[in-house]
Amino acid sequence: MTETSVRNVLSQISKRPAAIIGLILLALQLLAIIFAPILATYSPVEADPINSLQPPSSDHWLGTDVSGMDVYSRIIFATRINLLISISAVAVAFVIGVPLGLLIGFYRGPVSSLAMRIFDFVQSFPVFVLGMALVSVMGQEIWNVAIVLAVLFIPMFARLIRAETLSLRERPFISAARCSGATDLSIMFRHVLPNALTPAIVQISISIGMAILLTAGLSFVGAGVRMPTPEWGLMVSAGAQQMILGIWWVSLFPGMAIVVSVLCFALLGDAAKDIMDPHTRNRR
Amino acid sequence: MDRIVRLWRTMPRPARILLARSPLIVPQMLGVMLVTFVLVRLLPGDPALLMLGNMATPENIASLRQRLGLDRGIWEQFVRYVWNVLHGDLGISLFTSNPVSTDLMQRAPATLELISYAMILTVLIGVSVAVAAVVRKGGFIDILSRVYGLAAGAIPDFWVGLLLIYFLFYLGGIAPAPFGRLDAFIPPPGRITGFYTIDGLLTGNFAASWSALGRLVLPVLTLTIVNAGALMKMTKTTFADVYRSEFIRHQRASGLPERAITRSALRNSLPPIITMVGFLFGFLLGAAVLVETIFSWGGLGQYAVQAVINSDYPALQGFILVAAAFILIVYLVVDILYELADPRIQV
Amino acid sequence: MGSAFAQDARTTLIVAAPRTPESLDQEYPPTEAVHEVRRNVYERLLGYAPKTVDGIVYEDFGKIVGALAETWDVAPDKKAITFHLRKGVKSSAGNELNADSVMWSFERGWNLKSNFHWYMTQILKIASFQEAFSKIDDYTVKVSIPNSSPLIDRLWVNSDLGILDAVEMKKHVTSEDPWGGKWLASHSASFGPYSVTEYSPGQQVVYEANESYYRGAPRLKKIIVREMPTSSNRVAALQGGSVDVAEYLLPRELSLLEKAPGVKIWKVFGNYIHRVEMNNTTAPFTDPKVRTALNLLVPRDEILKAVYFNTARPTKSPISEIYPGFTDQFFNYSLNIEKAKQLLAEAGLKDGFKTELGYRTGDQLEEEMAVILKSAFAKAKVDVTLSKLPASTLVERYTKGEIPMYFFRDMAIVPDAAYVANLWLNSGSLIDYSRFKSQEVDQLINTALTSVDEPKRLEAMKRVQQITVENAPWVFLFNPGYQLATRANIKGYSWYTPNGNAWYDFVKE
Repeated sequence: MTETSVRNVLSQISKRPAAIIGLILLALQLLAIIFAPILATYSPVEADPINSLQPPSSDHWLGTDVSGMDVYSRIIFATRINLLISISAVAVAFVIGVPLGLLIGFYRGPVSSLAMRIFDFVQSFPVFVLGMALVSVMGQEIWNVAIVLAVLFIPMFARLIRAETLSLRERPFISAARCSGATDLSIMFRHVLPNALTPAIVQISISIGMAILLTAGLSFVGAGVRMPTPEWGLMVSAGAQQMILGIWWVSLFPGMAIVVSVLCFALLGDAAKDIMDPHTRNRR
Repeated sequence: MDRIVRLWRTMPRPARILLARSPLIVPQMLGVMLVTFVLVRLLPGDPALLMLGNMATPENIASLRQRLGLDRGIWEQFVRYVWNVLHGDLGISLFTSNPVSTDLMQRAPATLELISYAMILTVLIGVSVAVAAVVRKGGFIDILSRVYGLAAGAIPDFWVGLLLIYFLFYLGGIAPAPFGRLDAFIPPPGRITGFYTIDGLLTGNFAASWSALGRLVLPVLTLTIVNAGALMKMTKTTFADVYRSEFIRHQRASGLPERAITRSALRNSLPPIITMVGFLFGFLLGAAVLVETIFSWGGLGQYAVQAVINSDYPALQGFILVAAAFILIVYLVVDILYELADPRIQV
Repeated sequence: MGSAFAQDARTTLIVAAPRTPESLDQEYPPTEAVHEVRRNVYERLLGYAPKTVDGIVYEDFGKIVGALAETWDVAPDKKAITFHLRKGVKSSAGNELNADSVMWSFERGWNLKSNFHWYMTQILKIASFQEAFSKIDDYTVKVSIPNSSPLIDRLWVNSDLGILDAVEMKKHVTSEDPWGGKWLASHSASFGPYSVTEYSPGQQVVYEANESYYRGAPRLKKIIVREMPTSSNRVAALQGGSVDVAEYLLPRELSLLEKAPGVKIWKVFGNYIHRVEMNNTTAPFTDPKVRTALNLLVPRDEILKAVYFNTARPTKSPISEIYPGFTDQFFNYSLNIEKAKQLLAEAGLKDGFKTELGYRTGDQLEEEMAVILKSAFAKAKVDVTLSKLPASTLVERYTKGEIPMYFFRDMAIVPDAAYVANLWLNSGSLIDYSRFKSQEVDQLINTALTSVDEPKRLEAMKRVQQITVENAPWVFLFNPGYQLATRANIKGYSWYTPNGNAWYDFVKE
């Protein structure tokens, strides 16, 4: 862990163009989040039906949707919603999944197997239908969508940490700690966890990307946030009907926003993996 | 006890694997049934009220609810439900008036045909690009695969579907219309497998096969473009590990031709690849929901979406049950194949 | 082979519909898709005379003609009606119509306590089957009701009151299913112009002509109705020529198709009224000032142009504009934000209020309007949360009164102002979901339902419309009309009050 000091990390990043691109994209998204009211040209939720389905023009840079709302402004504001949902979902999944994985990896036995079976079972449900049903039950609030996503991601983090814990617990340094009288809890949290975290941290970035895709997918089938909340998937869905009639801008641009955002997190995740994995760290 | 252990050890390994892994499915399925039932019951919405509309009177409502079996206690409903499921009765859809099992069986081939072709194409593209990228490291294919892998992971499949419709159908006019599995004037071929492409050939109805194949292009491409990238990335990692391993280096040093080495590496990467393909199958079933909605495919995915929209409890329950069972079975098969393929695993 | 195919093509009609019917049973609750089945498969005792206006066939509500009943007699006190059945009417199965079929159909409807029962008990106030329905002879049936009803004859025009082929039905009854419900859900047994020969719910339904239909064999021998839930797909199918008829398209799509070659759009005023109902018993909608204020905030002109592409007409009364008794003289809501704010201030809501508006999942038009209304109401500081709900959830919530505002699109199939008002505005009605209550309105409606004095009834309904428009239990929006898009070679379009297309009238050139 000591090798990843800040200066070291920065120098690692500078050697990887992918990481730099990722950071730039992240910065762009942060700008969109913080300065949305200034960057947007129209209100993201005000309907203007007379100007519905206008193609991109100098007035509406990316055109308008079926309610006359400006596509560009909605994309900018949607960054807040999409990232909020995804990041909070992953954060909750991480905070619950990691200790859970630690516990079931450390204490093998029937409870651990049961937990694994439950994970299997959660992950075997058809994701979108489950999501639709859950959001139907709980209501179309941003928090509910985040909760549904968190539930789906917990098994992933738990499994990762469990796998690492399983291999780590046999290592000599753990036995040494045990000999010196450390309690189970302290072994888990002070010795195992720091070493097991690496893949989980890498996974965070990738999961945020997945969460953005899932949120968009849920909104696409109508199980995500409510209208007229600006959210990329909802925007793609709103324009889906018109694609076949040749109206392309309503779905194209929000979809591109999704791609850019997920790409950003994928690049950052890849870079994190490269940097943190001692095998690939200095290979360039 | 001792005799059992000895008996166990003398059984052939495949049998042991099967016996050890299979029983787990039962408690998992029961769990699926319970969760599905509870979840669906929690869904707000009284289907009786919806159906009656203008004709609602307290009498009508009560009589309809009774007809639909909605008037009994929750536990009683659950027990009856499990009992029925075990006898193959998944209830009657509130909105098609058909037994749910009939509905599902009618629509399953549509989804399976779509997923199967998508799987085949995905595996072909994903695995071959991955192998080529690793074998010729640093080459054109390698760079292309890295870009593709990155892009494919970031693209939403529903968006790809829409773009394909726009470019290939609306602008290009080369793809057939994106709704339904067949051209409206062509009657579906006689049902043998339910796969229009195959049934058409088997019954001599070539027009149907051809039309069905054409209609499959866009949805299959939609599913493949994104998932082949994911499979490719995962295969690359696994295959690369094996390709750079000790025993492969040994084979090369012993003078084995490259082709044979590649094949040998591939064979040894099979277990994790099989696992990934299994997960992919399950994932595609979920992705099919979105794709079927876009292309009006009339398969299980569309059925599920309509069921949620209409609060059609039995249909939704039936779908989730069947989908979950399907995925659990696929996982089981994959687990078993994995253990069969890897002699190092003890049972 | 070639000419046979061409022949087939000319007598086969392919239709793209949003959904296939949920059941073929006549006692299944009436939905749009189900109305269409009944229009084509079932025949009723009476009908309205046809009249043609601008090439479209309508019903002349002033003139009743016999259908399965060749003639009929209404008692002078309007407490009984006797039907003299037409002789020689054959069903699709080849059985002849007689009083036994009619009585069996009545018995079935009465015992299943669904549509038939509702009409008989709620409208005709029948209490006992034995006292009301009697077979006089093989071709004569009499219905007697306890109180006189102005609807005693025209009620029998309703498509939900079709007559079943009892001979065929009796082959499919069992001891657990004495009325053949299971079989009738997916088959048909009727004297109408078509029978259902293939029923795949969620996919398609196929009708074939009844060659012995008493009015003459249908010109279109086979109708294939395909389910295509997405309207834009139906549009593309019609444009591409793979279907002949596309039902229930959006106004935007219709305006696009009007310019397309080879396509024709048929438009009628229809009887749908699309409104936002408010729960009149939930604050702040208890105050008529608030309700009228919201009516003053609606940008009707904008919506008409941008959402409806000028195919709709603003709703000016809770009664459909084509029904006798309609008047628009009391409607004077136009966009007036200042006045709306003033009314809200008078109601003590100077700073606005928060509320919720529910609309159906899958209804694009409602979603478009919901977004527009949200922006419009925001101008007077009324903050509306939009809730997209699955249909049954929405229905449950407004039935229980748990949602303050919700979209409601409905039509009444009996062309009578009192009948319509009774459904939605009578506080005793179960479908007065807005819970509008006015003693005067209740009294006027109840009297009109049993009075046979036509001028007096019309006066009463005029007053009902005045009270309801001025008290605004709803946010009055639009009468969307009914439009059908067909290929240019399809002729003979007709419109009937349940809005289902009657394929018997159509012909393909």
